[in-house]
Amino acid sequence: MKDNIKLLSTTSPKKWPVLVAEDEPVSQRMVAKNLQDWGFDPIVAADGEKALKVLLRKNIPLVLLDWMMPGLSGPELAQHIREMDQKKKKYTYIILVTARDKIQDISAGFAAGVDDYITKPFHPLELKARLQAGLRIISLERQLLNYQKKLEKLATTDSLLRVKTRRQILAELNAELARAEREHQNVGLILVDIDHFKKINDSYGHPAGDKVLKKVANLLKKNIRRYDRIGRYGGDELIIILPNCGLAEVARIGQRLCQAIARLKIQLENNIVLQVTLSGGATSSEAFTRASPQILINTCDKALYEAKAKGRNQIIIFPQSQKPRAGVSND
Amino acid sequence: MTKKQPSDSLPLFDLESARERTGGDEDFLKELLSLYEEEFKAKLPELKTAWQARNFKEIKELSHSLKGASANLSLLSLQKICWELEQAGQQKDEKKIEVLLPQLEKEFEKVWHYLQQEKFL
Repeated sequence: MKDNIKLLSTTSPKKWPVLVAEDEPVSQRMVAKNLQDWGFDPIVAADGEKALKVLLRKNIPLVLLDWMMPGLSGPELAQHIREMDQKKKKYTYIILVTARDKIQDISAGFAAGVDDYITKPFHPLELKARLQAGLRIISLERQLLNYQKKLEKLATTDSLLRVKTRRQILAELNAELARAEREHQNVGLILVDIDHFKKINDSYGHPAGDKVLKKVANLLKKNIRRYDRIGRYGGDELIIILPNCGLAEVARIGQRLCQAIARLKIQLENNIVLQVTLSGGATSSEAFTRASPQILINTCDKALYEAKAKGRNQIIIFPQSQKPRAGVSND
Repeated sequence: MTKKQPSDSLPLFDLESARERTGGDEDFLKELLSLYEEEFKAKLPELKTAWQARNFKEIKELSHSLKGASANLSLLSLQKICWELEQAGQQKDEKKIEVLLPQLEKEFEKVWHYLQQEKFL
């Protein structure tokens, strides 16, 4: 009863990997061949420990577990797999292969976390049917994970500017400072806002103001490094986290951003072309023995205030060194 | 196929059933029979050693394994003896094990002779 119909997943005919944990060679070979014929990608392991090693390395959504194996037994392995699933936030579909059909053994298997069982010797089509059910569950799980990722992205992204939300960027600043402390690195921070933004909104309307914000955010995104992070701190305030940046580096990047924005031409309706400038305050954890997010932000805030006082269109670095070093300006 | 019968009336090899399990693939069936032979020849001395050491757990596990292999290939008489040996190991029944081990060895030779004769190998 050769069945050559390839098993199709819900999306495209891809080869789903299946782990076969079976120590007896004939059974192992038979199951592997069946799986291959049905379009799966079988990966065999001859005992529980080997099976666990494979699962730690590769992402395998379907597992066929023999009940009695040397070393780690089927149910023990199932428990380990469930623990791993919890940590990795994913789901593994487990089918227990048992020679027994006593109800206590089966219920013990389910208590250990298996999803289904099949008794040996089994007819190949029975296995195939159970695998198909498993595939449905796995596809559903993948869908859910996808949605979860999308939701997470939505929740942490400012919908207008496509930068991180305030809450998210502050959380990342916290995490980045912790990492930097562990790795003895610095973290740079730049806080900017658009000069005379209120006037832009009043003169040209809020849609125009939104467009200006978007263009500015986009240009900033283009001009930071791949691993820098940008978020919306307030209405027209943006905050940029710069990992591994000391004061000098922050100053350099700040100047580049300032100049880039000053050159930007924003086309509004009615053929109006706007140009804007940024004011900013910047610092680095380099300057502090104990840098907290609050200290860095407060420092940037003070520097931003200074930038405004000094005529705008500039990013000022605090603390300023003893040597007369003027804030970075756009000359 | 799994009905309980006295072992001397069980078929040595249920070809129909084995063909169904292997999807009619003759080459694959031969490959599996060869694999079985290899496995049996490796496990039989291990069984004997386990018996000498009165390691009942090992006897049980080894015969359980062989039972599975026999069942997969519809080698029914061998499957039956393996099952009995597994039970005997579980129950630490020395008298039974003493009888079943040589029986197992003899049955294997009988079955393999038959398979060779019928050109299944």
